[in-house]
Amino acid sequence: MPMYPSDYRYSTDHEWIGVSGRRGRVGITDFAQKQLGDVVYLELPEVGASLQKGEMFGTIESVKAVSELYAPVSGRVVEVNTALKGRPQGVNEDPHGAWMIALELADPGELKALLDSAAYGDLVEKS
Amino acid sequence: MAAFRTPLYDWHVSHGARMIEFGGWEMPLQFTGIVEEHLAVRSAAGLFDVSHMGKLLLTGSGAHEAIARLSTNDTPATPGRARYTHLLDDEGRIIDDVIFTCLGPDRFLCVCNAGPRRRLVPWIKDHLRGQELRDLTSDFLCLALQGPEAPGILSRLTSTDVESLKTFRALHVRLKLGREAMAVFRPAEMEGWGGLGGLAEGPASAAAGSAESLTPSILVTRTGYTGEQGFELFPPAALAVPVWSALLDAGADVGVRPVGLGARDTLRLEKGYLLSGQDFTGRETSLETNSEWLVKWDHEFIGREALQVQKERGDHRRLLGLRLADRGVPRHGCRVLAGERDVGVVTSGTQTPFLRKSIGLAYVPVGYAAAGTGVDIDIRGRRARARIVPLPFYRRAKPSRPVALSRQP
Repeated sequence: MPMYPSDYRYSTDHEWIGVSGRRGRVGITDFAQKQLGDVVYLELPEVGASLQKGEMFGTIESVKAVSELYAPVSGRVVEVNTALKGRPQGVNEDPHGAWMIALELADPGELKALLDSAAYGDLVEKS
Repeated sequence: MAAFRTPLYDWHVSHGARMIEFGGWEMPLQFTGIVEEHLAVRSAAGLFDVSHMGKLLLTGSGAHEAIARLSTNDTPATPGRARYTHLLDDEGRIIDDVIFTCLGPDRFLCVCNAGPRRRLVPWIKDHLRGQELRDLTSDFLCLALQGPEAPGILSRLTSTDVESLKTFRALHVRLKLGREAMAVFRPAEMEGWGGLGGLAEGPASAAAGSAESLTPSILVTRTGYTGEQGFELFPPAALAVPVWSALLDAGADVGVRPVGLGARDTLRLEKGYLLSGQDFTGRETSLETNSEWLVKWDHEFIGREALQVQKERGDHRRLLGLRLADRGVPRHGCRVLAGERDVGVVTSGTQTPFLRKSIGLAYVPVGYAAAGTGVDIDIRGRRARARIVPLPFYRRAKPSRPVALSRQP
């Protein structure tokens, strides 16, 4: 049973967000990286892009499959992890440390609709 | 309909395999990870359960003439020889690609793909003239042992000289499995056994062990789908776990590992081998798949006339290799663009674990077929530049040590 950090919030699309102040870093969960397998490619937005909650912000590709990435909350992209783009296998190695984008949150109230680590753990347990 | 399972299904699941359905079979996609498994085959060895492959036995007077009429390539009449070929419909379109192995006079094994098997069996039967075709797919396994260490590993389990077996040759070997493994083996369970017999056995020396620790003779061919050296073994279903485990044990010290269909796909694509049901799907001819090397024009075969017409016109599309210049991964179904024109389609694509390049196979018109031609690939709405390149993408290095030195005395 993998540990899902208790200070993150989780979407049912298997993204996590770790918030500090009005900014939040976004990545995908250990469950998601295991489903994908070896990640070989990341397509991420430009800094400045404005995202609505649930909007696609990029794609992640493993050797075998392509999957879309969705913004867990609304916000403006203020940082993109270009180092991770150059070394996408980092998503497999440390999924809860491998952030992809940082968002400036449009509405921190949206976080309440996301799952906490216990609820997310229950969700993937049933998958 | 429930999917078929190989006799190793429980082994796969209990060893952490992620299973997928492929060609109507539940097969392992990966055990530890596609990249790791792929690299193990390139550097050491991998063992694949590919028992979903169809195993059809054709026997009877005139069997060689019968398969010659079905086959674009010439077909082996000498026992112990195998040949890769296409089987075409009347329009020259590929029904399947198969390997025929001559097991004896009027005795042939046809190894076909899982998906096309249901169509292929009645099609072959329709074209026989008194010969018998038996579908032994579930009676035998197909285990592929592939990689630079494969000959050494197999040698440890038999006194027969398998290292000097040439490519596309076959023989029968008895494997030494140890008494414990053989204790689970009950010949009465092996319905259909003897089906793949026919070839002379290699010499079994006294040192090979006592009779109760030797398997019955098992068909072994020097064939594969990875671009590495290796073998395909066809043990009877009742010996599935003992043979599988013995091969893994024999190669444990050199790093052999079980490998799933995910790495099988990336390995074959690096080598530029085609995948039935993906690179051709019943609508493409041998000329369109760029496989004229498989067409021997000096004999009669079904589909020959249609191919001849297509060859004379010469304007057919061709399946070619491409390599991306931009970032991104081409996938099955991506369109090939030339300026604003949609000129073709990608049939296979990946970023390969060994070469670390984005590569693919695509059908393009003859005007774009020259190596070096630039095209664009539409990857979900984004254009990535690519070039047509010659196949294969990967060619194995010559062995660094003389084969004779590594052979057991």
